[in-house]
Amino acid sequence: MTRTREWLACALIALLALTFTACDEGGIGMGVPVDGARWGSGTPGPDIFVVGGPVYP
Amino acid sequence: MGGRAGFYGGLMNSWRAFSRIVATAIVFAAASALVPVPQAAPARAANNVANGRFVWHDLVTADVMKSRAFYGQLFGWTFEAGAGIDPGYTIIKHQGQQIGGIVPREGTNVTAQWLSYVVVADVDATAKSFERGGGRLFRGPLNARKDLRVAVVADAQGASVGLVSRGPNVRDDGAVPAVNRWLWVEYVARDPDAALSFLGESLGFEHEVGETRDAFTYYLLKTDRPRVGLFRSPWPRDSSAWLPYVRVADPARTAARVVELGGTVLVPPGPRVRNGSLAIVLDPEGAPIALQKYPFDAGATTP
Repeated sequence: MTRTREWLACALIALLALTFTACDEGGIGMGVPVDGARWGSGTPGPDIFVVGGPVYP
Repeated sequence: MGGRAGFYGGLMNSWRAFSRIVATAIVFAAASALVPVPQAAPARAANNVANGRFVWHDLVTADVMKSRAFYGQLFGWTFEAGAGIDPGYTIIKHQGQQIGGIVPREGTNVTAQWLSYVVVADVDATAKSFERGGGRLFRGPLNARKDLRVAVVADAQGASVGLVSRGPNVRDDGAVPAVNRWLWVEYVARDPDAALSFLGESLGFEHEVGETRDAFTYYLLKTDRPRVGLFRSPWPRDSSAWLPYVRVADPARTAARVVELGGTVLVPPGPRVRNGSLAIVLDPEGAPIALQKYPFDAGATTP
């Protein structure tokens, strides 16, 4: 393998590494307290969710 | 012998070249993982989605594999290792599109929860407004990507939320998300009046009364269009919380599946729960999530 080909291969790998990293939209997992009170297991009452809900145009 | 030496010599030359290439790849991979999070000036990228839109959801859980099994079977979500700034981050995908993540948290007293991220114009200023308003700054602001500023905060009522400077590369055309995608977010408020005031100041939400029935009032929070619902919490919790919604085709059937998979039904679908179009469930680790059919026939809820 010639030196030129070697450098071209290195540059290609470097480019691929950067590309794959840039494609990743996720990875924004963050620290947040997780020792809060659990949600209850009972129903909140018959009228609580009668109204409301998502609204799309 | 000369041929053998030549063979070995060539092999060694190739091996040295290969080693240099591998070393370069390792260096760039490491640099890519570590360097693209510059901590200097805040990024002020132009948002490709409107402020006030929730664009990402992270599940914080002590048992990632159990969560993957649950959500994979419930919604058909798939998972892959993510290159996040936290080790062990998992990307959630639905039909090939990234829709959220899973953050592993160690500990014996971990209550799983979904952390939702909302787009704001200025992450740093908004984070400060949460602190000034009696809330807390848990992490950041920092650059998770070269043009992605993030922070995690809680308001004075204890509701944790993520702040991001931009959304993912998807169109924000107001189209209703597909089934098994994120549909909506609600703020379950301990003190609705205080929450409306604070969320207006900090996140720029204007609000209006969506519907009211007896003593129950459902508020709509808007930026360019309705983005969030808000109502007084019916649960005896000390803190308020953001509740993410997933669109489902059949809430009753999905809620039954939740139970089969080890979860709990918190609010079962019924005639007076948005006419059977809504169920609120806990996943096996205790994270609440709402299952909503959309569109739904609200008129049938009239007593």
